[in-house]
Amino acid sequence: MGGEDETRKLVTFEVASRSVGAPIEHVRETVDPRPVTPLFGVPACVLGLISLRGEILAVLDVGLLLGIGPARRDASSRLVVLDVDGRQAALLVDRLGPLLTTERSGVRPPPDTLPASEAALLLGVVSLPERPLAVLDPARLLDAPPLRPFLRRPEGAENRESR
Amino acid sequence: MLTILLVGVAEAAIGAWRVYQTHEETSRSQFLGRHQERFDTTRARLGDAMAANAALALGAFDVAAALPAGEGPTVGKRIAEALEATSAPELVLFVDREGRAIRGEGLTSLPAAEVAQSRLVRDALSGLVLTDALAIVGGRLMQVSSSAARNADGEVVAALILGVPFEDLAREYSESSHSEPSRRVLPVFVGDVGGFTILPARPEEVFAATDPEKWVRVQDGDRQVDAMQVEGQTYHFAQQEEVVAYRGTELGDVGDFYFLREPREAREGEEKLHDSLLTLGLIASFTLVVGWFLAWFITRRINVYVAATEDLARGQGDLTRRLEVGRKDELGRLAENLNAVFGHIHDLAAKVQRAAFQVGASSAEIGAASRQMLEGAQEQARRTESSTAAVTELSASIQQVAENATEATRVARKSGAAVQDAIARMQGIRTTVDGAAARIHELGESGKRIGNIVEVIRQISDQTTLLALNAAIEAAHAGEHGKGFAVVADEVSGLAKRVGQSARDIEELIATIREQTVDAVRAMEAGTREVEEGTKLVTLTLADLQSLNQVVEDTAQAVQEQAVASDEIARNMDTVQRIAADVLSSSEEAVDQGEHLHRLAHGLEESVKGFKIDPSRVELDALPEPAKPTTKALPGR
Repeated sequence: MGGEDETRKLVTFEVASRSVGAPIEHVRETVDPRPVTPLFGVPACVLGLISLRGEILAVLDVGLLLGIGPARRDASSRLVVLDVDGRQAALLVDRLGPLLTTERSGVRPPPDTLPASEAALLLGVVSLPERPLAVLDPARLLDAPPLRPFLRRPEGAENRESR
Repeated sequence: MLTILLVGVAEAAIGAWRVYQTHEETSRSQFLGRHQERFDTTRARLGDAMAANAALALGAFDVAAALPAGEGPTVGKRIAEALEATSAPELVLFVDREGRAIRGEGLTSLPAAEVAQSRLVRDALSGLVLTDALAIVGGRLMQVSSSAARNADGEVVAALILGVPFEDLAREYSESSHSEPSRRVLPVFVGDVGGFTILPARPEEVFAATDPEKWVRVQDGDRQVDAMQVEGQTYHFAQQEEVVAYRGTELGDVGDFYFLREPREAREGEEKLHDSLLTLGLIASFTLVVGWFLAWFITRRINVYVAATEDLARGQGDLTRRLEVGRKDELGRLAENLNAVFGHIHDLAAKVQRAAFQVGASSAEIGAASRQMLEGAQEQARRTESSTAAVTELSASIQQVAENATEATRVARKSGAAVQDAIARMQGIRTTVDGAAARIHELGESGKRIGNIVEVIRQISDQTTLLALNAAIEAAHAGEHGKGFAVVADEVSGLAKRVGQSARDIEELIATIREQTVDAVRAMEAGTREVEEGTKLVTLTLADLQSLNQVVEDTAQAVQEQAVASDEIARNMDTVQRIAADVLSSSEEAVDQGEHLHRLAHGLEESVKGFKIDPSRVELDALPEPAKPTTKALPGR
């Protein structure tokens, strides 16, 4: 996948009143929230499991992962399913935003003022007229330290990805 | 003088009568015989009177009813009281039909056996009316009368027997036979029981002298008659043998009755006659002489008084003059009395003069007052006329008011109907508003349903947006091939966004509508309440109006009555006017009468003007002070 041109598309959403985006190539789909089966003995950012068309996915609270506060659960809540080389997880977001197309150069590195733990999970920041948009790095997000012991790269991931 | 002569003649007549009476007494036995007849007549009258008394006493009470009811003693007592007030007989025997004496206060009580066997009682109960019967009752000879009480069937139920002692009758007759006790007739009754005598001698001797063996022959006028000798005194007598009386079971002879009188010599009477004639002659001569002298003496002085009174008789003369009184005999007193009469006439004339003057003044007063009254009456007549006019006008006004009140009643009734109509209409408004409120409520409900639909649309729009996003993601994943699809997805996303926006707009509109609906419903509820309040007020108004209507009707009725009353007043005023007219004519009459009175007073004054009067001697204090004449002068007088 790689952008042969100078633009890239971002699926945007809101978490804890912050605008967040994810590169569209790592977004598999967006779905309505559904019942979450809670797990025991997992970090607080792992909310539980859902069944999506027979597939079991972990639901993550991206706000907690980023350290910007927990996501809400209401009528406008949605799940954004990420897919990084076959590793999949659903992010609980407060609401979806529009599909954003931006210059590749528009994504600038996160400012130094951000905490390192948060900056480590971002590809960069896009300056929008209203407010800045934090662009997630899905690969690093799914490899984040709190999730490392939990989200193993499944064996057949490569196969599925290749398929 | 003539009077004196008449007295002499009368004196002579009395003397002659006395002589005749003296002569009459000479035939004593005939004289006693007449006394006996008169005594019997007297007894018979007394008996009749007693029988009538008994009948009256019985008739005054319902004896037939009272006796069976055991009220005999009460009735007997009252009969006795009634008799006590009239004749007071000594014997009052009241017996019932079985011949039993009724005992009671005032009734004579006798042994029952004596009454039961008494033939007197039997005869009385047989209905025989005894008038002057004699009976031995209680050992005394009594004159009895009886009367029987009968019931409605005419049967005798009781008898009342009244009696007085025969001795009392005889004694009374004796006492009334002559004014001098020595010349009275002396009754003597000799019988088996109850003998009595009025003679001063002892009764035994008197009774013994009645024995014909002991009679003596004496000269009575020109014949020989029998006489009784008692204690040496000779008595002429008249005899009644066989006094028949009731005695127990029998009726028979109970004794003899005599009238006795002392004899007088016939010659004594003739001497008396001679003496009387001589005396008469002397008295007549003397009387003539004395009478003539007295007449001369009296007429001489009387002529003086006649002359003195002649002027007065003509209605003139000096009332201050007085007669000479002289001696204190009858003529002296006559002179005094005439002087007193002159004095009285003097005062009277003076008073008449003064009174006439005062009457004149008073009549002038009356004339003035009458004139004032006349003026007043005229004024009254005028005013009454104007009052009558005013009352008639008032009556007409009241009539007008009555008509207006009737009109007011009609209008008030119409108003009541209008208000009732208004109430009905308000009820209609309320119903309509209620209906409208229900419709608006339904509209609100419809809005809610639209909201639901819009919500669905909005959800669909959200889903579409999601789908469009996923489609865009898929298109991105498809790379170069998905570019066209991405455009479509973008378009779809845009449409979905617009649909969502429209849905939100609709939701806002619906919210606005719902708010407005709520406001409308609230307004209508307020309107309903207003209508209710209005209905209530109008209902109250209706009630008030009905009260008002009642008041107006009452007023109308009252005014009608007033109209009737005012008519009555108007009629009465007419009457008053007529009366005022009468008063007016009466006042005119009074004026005339006052003038007439004045003329009369003047005449009166003229009539006593002829008498000379000494003003200093008049006791004017005795005359009432005349009413002070008012200063109002009489017009034209």
